[in-house]
Amino acid sequence: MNRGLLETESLSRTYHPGTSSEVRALSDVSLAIPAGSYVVLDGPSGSGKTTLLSLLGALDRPTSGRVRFADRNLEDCSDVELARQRRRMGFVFQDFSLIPRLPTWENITYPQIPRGLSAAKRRQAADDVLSRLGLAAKADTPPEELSGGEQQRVAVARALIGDPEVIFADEPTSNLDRRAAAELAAILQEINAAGTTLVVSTHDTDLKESASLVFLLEDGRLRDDTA
Amino acid sequence: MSSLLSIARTGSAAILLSPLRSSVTVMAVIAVLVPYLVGIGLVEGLRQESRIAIGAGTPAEKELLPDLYVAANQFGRRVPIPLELAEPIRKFDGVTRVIPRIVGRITLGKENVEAVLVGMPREELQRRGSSIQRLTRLIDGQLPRSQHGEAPQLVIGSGLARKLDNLQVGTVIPPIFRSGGGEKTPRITGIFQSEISPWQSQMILTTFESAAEIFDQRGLATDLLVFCRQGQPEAIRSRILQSLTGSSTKAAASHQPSVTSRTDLESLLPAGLGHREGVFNLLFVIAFAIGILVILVTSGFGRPERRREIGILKATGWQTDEILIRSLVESLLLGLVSAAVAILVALAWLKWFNGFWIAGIFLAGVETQPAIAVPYVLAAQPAGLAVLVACLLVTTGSAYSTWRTAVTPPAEAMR
Repeated sequence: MNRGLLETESLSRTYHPGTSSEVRALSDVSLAIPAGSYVVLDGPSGSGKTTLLSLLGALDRPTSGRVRFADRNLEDCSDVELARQRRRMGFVFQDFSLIPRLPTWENITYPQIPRGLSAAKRRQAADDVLSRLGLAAKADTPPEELSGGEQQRVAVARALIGDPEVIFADEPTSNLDRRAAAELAAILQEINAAGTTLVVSTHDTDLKESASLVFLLEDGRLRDDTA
Repeated sequence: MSSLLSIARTGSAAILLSPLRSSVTVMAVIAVLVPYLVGIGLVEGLRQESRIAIGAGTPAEKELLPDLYVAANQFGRRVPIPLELAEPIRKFDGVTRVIPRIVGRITLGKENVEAVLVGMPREELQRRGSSIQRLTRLIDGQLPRSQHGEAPQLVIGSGLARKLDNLQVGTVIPPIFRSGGGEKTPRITGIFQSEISPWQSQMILTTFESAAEIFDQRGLATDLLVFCRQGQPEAIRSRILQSLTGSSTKAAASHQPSVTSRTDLESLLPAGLGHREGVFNLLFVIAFAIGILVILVTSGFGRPERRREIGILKATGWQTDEILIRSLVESLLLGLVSAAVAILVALAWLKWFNGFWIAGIFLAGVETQPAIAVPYVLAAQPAGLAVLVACLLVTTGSAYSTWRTAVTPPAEAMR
């Protein structure tokens, strides 16, 4: 296996270990994701796709095993270092995870605030991204006044704003209608075409068709015939 | 530096992002702070009034009030002082004036309203620019002139007059005493504004002669008010004690003189007020402890939303310390806003609602709705303390939960 942008080695994640409610969400997963690829994590509900995505994106720590991101072992990173690694990534969540009552442009550029960017520069960056995604007119609208499709595009805009090396998307089309899902699939394809690595967990056939690599998960394990 | 400012700015904006949580927090802090500020404002007001009353205020006020109060003791208790003892004191070098005074309690009206009758010599009441003329604001009638044997003339406070079926100047009130000289029917000759000082709210003023008849105590005074030249009171005090203790007169032999100076009164003030203030502070400590619990509970308002928000911030690259700074700024601003509102509400409570309900705790005999203008001073120190307490309360209430969430992996916080 070639060394990729992201690599995992015998990755496992168990929730509530040692208790009666112990759940082994991921077992012994080893994979490599090359830079610039479009990767889809496929599998039925509860197969461990979201858990794997969280571990790849440094949103959670594994019970055992390793995750390497751009030659850096994430399990060796301190809390501060992990936060720095996350700034090199973008996330699109299934439920959008936007901050209520905050205007769209502020939602998009919130991750840039600790980097000391002025409000004017952040606004400019937000307007650019929103124009690319066809949401220029919604810059001052809070998320609760947007449709599901628009909210998901705002989430994509937030993931894009920091010019990340990789974008993780967790079931990005599951809450969207067919038309909005197709639009989002096209946007993601465009992002990948521009050179950004994309890791998407999905059942959506449109998204799977565009993938350069598909990993199939079942009961927290990677199927042997995958990829 | 600019990133720190940007983070701080998000802290202030966060107040509006969780309006319910912010308003509940502000309300809880106000509920704790307002009674404290009102109480402390009243204590300070009373302290100031008391200082003025004993002449410890401005030089002009000092001039109006006596330097020494001479009374008598018998069997270790305070008793009236024989009037004849005023004469030797008058002759002491440095003494400018000696005024005998009678202060006693009487009961008036069908409701048995308690009042304090003060008797001062007629000449002192009539003397132009006398302390009694300058400290009592007559709104109707004139000061009393009744002499020995005449019907007593009374000057009554406006609040007391209202309480006693709206007494007017010229009204004859039912006999309040039967002395050796027969039944006397007092007449109201004047009404003064009693709302200006709590000490005057229950006061009735008459001449020394009438007061002596009302209480049937001839040749006696409650105390002698001694005015001295500047810098002399201590020397005169010693002289009074020396000369009257060893006096050979019959009256003086049975009465031990007791001299109280203005400084003595000043030192007594904190003890009385401090007791009530101490009780109040204890109550406040209890309220403060309850306040922290209330804030801890109220900060649970919107906690899942806040947890998720912190998770999103962490997922998008915010560090734990940056999230803590944001939360700290939010808490401090909420504390400041709460304290500012609490100070305004306390001021309104004291100024426009006249210390409604809480004044009764500090002023004996004052009803829920005080009839007098309650004194208050909302000084910088308690106001500053209120700001500190508010910031401490809100920060304590939110710091721990924010830190716990911020060190939790984002995936878990967002779940």
